[in-house]
Amino acid sequence: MVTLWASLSRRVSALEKSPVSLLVPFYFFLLGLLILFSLILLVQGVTGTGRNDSVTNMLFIMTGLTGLVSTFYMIRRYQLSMQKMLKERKIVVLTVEECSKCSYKAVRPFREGDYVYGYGEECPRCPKSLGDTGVENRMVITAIYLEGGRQEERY
Amino acid sequence: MQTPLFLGQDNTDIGYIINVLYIAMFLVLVFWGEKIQTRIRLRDIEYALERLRLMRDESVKFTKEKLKKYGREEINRFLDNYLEFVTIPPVDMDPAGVVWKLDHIVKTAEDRVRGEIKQIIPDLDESHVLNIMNLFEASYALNYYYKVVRHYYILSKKTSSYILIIQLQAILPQVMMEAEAYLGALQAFSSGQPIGDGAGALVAARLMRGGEIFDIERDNVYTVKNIQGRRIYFMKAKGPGGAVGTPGDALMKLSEKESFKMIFMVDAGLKLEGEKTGSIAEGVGAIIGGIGTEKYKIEEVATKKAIPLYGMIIKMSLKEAITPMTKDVLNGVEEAHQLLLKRIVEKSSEGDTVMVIGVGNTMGIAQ
Repeated sequence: MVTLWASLSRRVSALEKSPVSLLVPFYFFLLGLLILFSLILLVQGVTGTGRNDSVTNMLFIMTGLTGLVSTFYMIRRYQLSMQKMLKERKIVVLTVEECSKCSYKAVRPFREGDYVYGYGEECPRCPKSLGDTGVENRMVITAIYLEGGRQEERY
Repeated sequence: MQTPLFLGQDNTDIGYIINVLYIAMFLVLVFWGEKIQTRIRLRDIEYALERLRLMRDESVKFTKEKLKKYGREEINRFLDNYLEFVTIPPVDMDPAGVVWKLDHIVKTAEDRVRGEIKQIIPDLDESHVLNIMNLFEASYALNYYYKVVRHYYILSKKTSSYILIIQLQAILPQVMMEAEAYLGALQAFSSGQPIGDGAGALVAARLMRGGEIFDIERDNVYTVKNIQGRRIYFMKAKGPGGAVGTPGDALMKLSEKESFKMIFMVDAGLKLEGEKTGSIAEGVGAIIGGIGTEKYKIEEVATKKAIPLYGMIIKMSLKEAITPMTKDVLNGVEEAHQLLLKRIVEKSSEGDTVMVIGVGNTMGIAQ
């Protein structure tokens, strides 16, 4: 069961994008400049424009390569953070029911109205007596918990 | 060997341009460096503020959507008013008796909100009223966070106070974490799921099973059981609505007719970062959170009658405390339950009367 929390978080995440919308193009513009600058350095280093000194050329090549690698690393990081943000957070709450007569235990998704030590569904193992309209055959909810064991932290 | 030349070191046109750019950048940073940093920090705060506003708006919208099924338009208006509701604490220049005044004010505030919800939706049962109150409180908290952060943001912008901006930016991650926790709490509050804070109440509920349940004071229930020759009182807030009860008042009343040899308290406690969720810490003292009025009453009874106060904390984060109970917390409840029974037998003798209080929000936990 994808709960309301997940849908709420998705909606907030979607809305969150609006203030970032101006920053993102600027960020990519800077990255583009960095790529261009790195490429110029790389070409200068490889062709040795105007210099015969191999140390200088090597420095130009190294700087150009570092620039390119770091730019692609930053793009990849952005890509991963986007994927993480868009990934749905499925929060599943489970209800544990136990039969007080035969100790049969069942786990099912939480339904509104469930509460610990309230009555759940009828026990599938215990035979239902004729004319039984009460709670005699129903299992007792012994626990309600979040599946997965821990809350996902965003920070 | 010729010294390698870097950009700007050679006497070309590009070299001159780069040199001028370096000097310009140096001057800009010397004269406007702090202003640029202020702008960047304010942009971060603005972004967080926008997120807080969205969270607040979403929580209000969500609460109103949840309340639609009751078909009462007044409840939406009441929620809007409730977001600006104020509870003025009593004057503490003369601290004598301030706890009772605070207790009175808090109960009055609670009565008023509870009364108004009941007035708007008369056919609502008590547990649903309490759940709606919890839902309102989550929206209230988000609105409060938003307003306080907005206040300091505008103030720091107006005064251009760099220190104020740094302080605000420093506390923002904590504020955002708490706001996120409240946003997550909406789901649990709206559908009445047990939350992490109910760990203490769940321990008590497990121990109360099978006993005859009695109501005592506001929103409390208790039962009396005989365990290995000891007369044990188990008490918790009345579930399954989201109540925390008034264990202090109930203990004061019960101690008039019973002489307790010791008091055990179990509650959910905030863990420090790095600590394991669901781990148990044992100790002494009144283990109960809140504004302190119930703690005061419990300490009063224990001190006057020289009753030892023992307790245990089931550790969790703030988020885990107000969102649906996790498996780790549930494991902690099981552990605390076993440990508590062991300690009761260890610390008391046959014929003793012992009080066990399961503290916390009992949402989704009956007895």
